[in-house]
Amino acid sequence: MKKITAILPTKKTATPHRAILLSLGLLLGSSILTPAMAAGDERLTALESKLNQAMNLIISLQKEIGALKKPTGGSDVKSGNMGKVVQTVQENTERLNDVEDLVLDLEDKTGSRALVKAFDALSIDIGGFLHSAVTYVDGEDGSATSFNRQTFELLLKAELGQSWSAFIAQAFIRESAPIFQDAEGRTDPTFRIPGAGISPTVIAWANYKSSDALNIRLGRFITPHGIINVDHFPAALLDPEQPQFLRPFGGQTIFANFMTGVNIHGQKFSEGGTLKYDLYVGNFVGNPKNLNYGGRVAYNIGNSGITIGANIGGGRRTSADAIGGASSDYLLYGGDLLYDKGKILWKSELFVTDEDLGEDRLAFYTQPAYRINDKWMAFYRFDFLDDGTGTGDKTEHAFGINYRPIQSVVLRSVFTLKEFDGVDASSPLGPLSEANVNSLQLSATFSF
Amino acid sequence: MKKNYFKISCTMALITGLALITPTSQAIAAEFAVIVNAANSMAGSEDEMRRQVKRIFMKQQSAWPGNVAAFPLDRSPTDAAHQAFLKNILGKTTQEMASHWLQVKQQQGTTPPRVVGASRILLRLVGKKEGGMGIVNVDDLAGAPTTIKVLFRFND
Repeated sequence: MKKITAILPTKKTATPHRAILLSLGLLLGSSILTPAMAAGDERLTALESKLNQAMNLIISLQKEIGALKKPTGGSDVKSGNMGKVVQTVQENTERLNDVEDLVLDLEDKTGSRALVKAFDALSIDIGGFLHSAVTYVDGEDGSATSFNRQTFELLLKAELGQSWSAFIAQAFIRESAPIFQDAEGRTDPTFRIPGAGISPTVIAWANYKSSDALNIRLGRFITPHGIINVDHFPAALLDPEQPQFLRPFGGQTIFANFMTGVNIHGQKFSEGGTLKYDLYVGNFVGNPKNLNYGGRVAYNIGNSGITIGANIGGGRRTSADAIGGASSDYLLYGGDLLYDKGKILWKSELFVTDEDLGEDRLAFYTQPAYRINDKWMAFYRFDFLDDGTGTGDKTEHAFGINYRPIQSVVLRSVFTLKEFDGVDASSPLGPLSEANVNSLQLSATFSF
Repeated sequence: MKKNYFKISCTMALITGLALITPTSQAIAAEFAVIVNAANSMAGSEDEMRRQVKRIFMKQQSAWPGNVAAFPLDRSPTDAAHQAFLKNILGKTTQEMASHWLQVKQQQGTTPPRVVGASRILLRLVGKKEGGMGIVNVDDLAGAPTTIKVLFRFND
């Protein structure tokens, strides 16, 4: 090719086609002139050979031209298809931006901090809350005010494997419960002195999940009865002072609030709703010698917002040794109803017990609440308790409002009117006079 | 004077026309899709799928059919896909969802689904995790990896 182009005109615009034609012309010309100058077969053979060479050269040139015309990598630019190139660059730029955003997020979260690794768990989540309250109590023979509650609680969840997990709630509490210092214990309020500084392990369980329908939990857990005992934590409660039957913290006024033992639980989904069950057996901390047992079955009706629960339980309240060999066995029956939809959140629970020792017990509350907007919520609670002690029924009317400036902060104001029923002289602990007590509590819970 | 009336009339007609056209164009609903890993064997009516997706996102149900551990992913709270999902699939307000997560966190240490900002990264994550589930604008499905599939679509 180079030899031929060397004898072609040096005009830069000459195309390969033209070069081929000129080359062909020259070769043909030479083949015509040659017979005229020489004779004989040898020359003819030589000419044929040259013609073949020329033909081969033409074929070779055609191939090269074809190859040049074919699209190759990066040919979009050569062929002037800039639109496609710009689109590709834009896509890559967007992807790069996404990756850079992700890196920045990670940088924000980790920065130059030391990374914490769990010893053996797949993952660990840590959180908790702070809860503070100031309470004013106005009785018939006096009043008292105190910043009486300060709770710091750590929550820790570890995933040990796909089916295994553990959850711990460790509380550090300083509190001084309101009490009454008059002889009848109902007219002259004060706060318990000294205040208690305790650090109970509220929850500590390990859970094995076979499926959503079958979980086995071992350790210390919230006794799965009703609604508010399961809600339990101040951050999730409209009134951190739980209904009377759940007081005192860690007690067993109707049933033990906490249990150490085994809890089998699960849920089954259907088109109509969700069926949830809990079964447990364990010990109440106040009586480690005897087992308590029980369970709850609840059904959530689809999108209606309604959940209906049924509860049953039993056990022994106190070791027989501690009460001179008497029986303190009890049976528990209860029902609960939750409506949670739209603006309305309404919780109700009813429990009765059949006691071998003392009178049977009855507790009931209903607590309708109204979501005013995303930040404000108002509620009322009617709360009745006959604790079987023979000191008269106790009724509370609580009116409260919750304000959430941000999701993790709850500020509350709750006014409570408590009524003590009178007891006549025929009662072993009588007579006791009727009394009313008003209280106002301001509280704040900060979750993290 | 007649010309002025004509000009004013034309201008008012134009403004009225624009006012009528603008809300119409804004009212065009965006379309979103719930995507899962291509290996997901979930089948059934769309209603059933919506119910399961809701339970899985809220971590009430922890596994897909076939006992594959569910791995739901969320979008940022300001993302249109998140807001449409909240309204149309979960049927919850932001406040109600926040209360839900607060409650399950305190009761059993359950955390909300991880938030993924970019659609492309979400598509890759769902494609990588067998139990993966996420929400994307259908426009983001162009060029999506073959390791994901659309469970169902829903509107804004």
